[in-house]
Amino acid sequence: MVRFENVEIRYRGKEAILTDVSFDLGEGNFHFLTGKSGAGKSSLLKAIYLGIFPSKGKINLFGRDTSSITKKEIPEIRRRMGIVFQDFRLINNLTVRENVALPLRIFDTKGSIIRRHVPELLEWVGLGDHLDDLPTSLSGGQQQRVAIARAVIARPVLLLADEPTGNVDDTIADRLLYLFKELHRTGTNILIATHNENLIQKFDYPVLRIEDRKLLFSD
Amino acid sequence: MRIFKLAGSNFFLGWIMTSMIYLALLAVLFSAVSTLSFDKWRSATRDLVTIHVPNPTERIANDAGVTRLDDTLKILRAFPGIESVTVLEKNDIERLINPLVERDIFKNILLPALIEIRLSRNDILPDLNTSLKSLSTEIFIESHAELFLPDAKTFSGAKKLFSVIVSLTLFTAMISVIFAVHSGLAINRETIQVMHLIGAKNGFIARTFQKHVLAVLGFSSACGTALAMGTFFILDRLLKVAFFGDVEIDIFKQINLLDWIIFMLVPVSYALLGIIVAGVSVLILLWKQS
Repeated sequence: MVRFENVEIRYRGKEAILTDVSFDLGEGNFHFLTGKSGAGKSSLLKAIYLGIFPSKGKINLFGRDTSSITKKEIPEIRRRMGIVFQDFRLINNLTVRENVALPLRIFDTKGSIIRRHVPELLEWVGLGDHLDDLPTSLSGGQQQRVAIARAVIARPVLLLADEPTGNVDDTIADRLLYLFKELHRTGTNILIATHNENLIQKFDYPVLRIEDRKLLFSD
Repeated sequence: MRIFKLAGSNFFLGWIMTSMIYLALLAVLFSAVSTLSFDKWRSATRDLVTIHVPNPTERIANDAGVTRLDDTLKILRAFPGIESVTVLEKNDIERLINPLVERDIFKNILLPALIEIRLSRNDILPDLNTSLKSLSTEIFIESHAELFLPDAKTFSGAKKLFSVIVSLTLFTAMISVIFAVHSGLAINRETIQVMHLIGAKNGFIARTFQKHVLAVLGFSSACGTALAMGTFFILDRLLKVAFFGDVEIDIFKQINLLDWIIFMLVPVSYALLGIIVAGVSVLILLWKQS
C-alpha cells in the first residue's frame, strides 16, 4: 500500500531531512512512527499524503508511483487517506458536526447519509453533546477527537495521524489509542507519528524509528 | 453549509463593496442624466433661430396695407429649408425681458417682433439673412446654436470631465472588487488548504469559493443598488420640490432604456468579475500548493 524506496526528503535549498528511507506498509498494518522532535516524522507523513515530493528515490502509493501522479490525480489519492494533523486544522467557523461532515460533502455523499453517520461517529468518540459547538469552545482533547472523527468519517484505507496525543494527558491519550485500535479492527491501516515512548510501549505495534535522518525498524 | 468565513472582516469587505458599487452606480446615473439633458438641450437649440423685427407694425411704402412683420413672415413662409415659423406673442416677449427691466417700461417702448423659426437645414442662414436684409437692414437673425456656443463648450467640457470621473469610479470599484476577493481568499486560505488536503478537487474548491464570493458580492451589489436608487429618488423629489417649484423636472424620465440596462449591468458585471477573480485566484493558489 505504501512503499518507500531509497527516498530522500529535503526542502528547497536546505539540508536533507531524511535520506535513504525504505519501508513497505502492506494491508492490515498498524505502525508507530517515532523519533525525536524535528527528526522528520511529519515530513515523512507529508510525503505520504503528497504534501511534498521526494528529492530522490521512489514512493509508491496504492500501486501508483508518485512521480507519475499528475496534480489532477492528487485529490483522488488523498481521498483514500484520512489525516489527523498535529495542529488539528479544524475549521473554526464550522461547528463540530460540519467539520466532521466536510469530507463527506467534498465527496458528494447524500445528505441523508451525512445526517445519520456524523452524529453516530461523534457519539462514538464521546462528543455526542457537542455537535453544534464551535471547535474553539472545545478542549484540546475534544478538538483532537473531532480531528480524528473528520479523518475517519469517509472510511479511509489509510489513516495518518501526526502526534495525535501531543496535546492530551495520558488518560485521554490511552482512550484515543483504543479508538485507533478499534478503527484498525474495522479494516483501516494506521500510521501514527508520536514521540510518546510510553504509549509505544503500552501498545504492541511495530515501530518505525527515525534516527540521524535514517529510518530504522523495530518490532 | 457555509464552509468559508462570512464574519468579521468579510462584512467590512462587503460594506466596502456596497459603497463602491453605490458610488459607481451614482456616477453612471448622473452621467446618463447629464449627458441626456445636454443632448436634449443641444438638439433643441441646434436648429432654432430667432428673427428680430424692429418696428414690426411699420407699413411698407409701396403697399399701404402690409406691415414689415407681414412682409418678413411672407419671406420666411416661402423660404425653402424652414420647418416652422412661430411669432412670439407680446406677453411672451415681455416675459422674456421682464427679469431685466421694470414692467412699466413696456408702456413706453415699442418692442420688436420676435419670430422663432426651426430650420430643416442650417446652410440656408446666409441666404435667409440676405433676403431679410433686403427688406430692412434692421432685421437681424440670432442663431441659438451660436448664441449658446460658449455654454455648449462648457457643457461639453463638463461632460468629458464627468466621463473621466465615471471611468475612474468604475475602475476604482473594479480594483476594490479584485482586492476584496483576494482579501477573502487570504482569510479563507487555511480552509482552502484543509479542503485540498482532505481530497477536494480544485474545481470543487474554486466553485465553493465562488459561491461564497457571489453571496458577499450579491448582497453588496443589492445594497449598493438599493442605496443608489434611494439617493436618486430623494434627489428627484428635491429637484421637483425645492429648486424648480412648478417646473416639472423628472430625472427618472430623462433616463432611457439603454441607460437603465447599463445601470443594472454595473452590479451584475462586478459580481461576475468577482466570481471570475475568485475562481482564478483559488486555482492559482492550489496550483502553487500542489
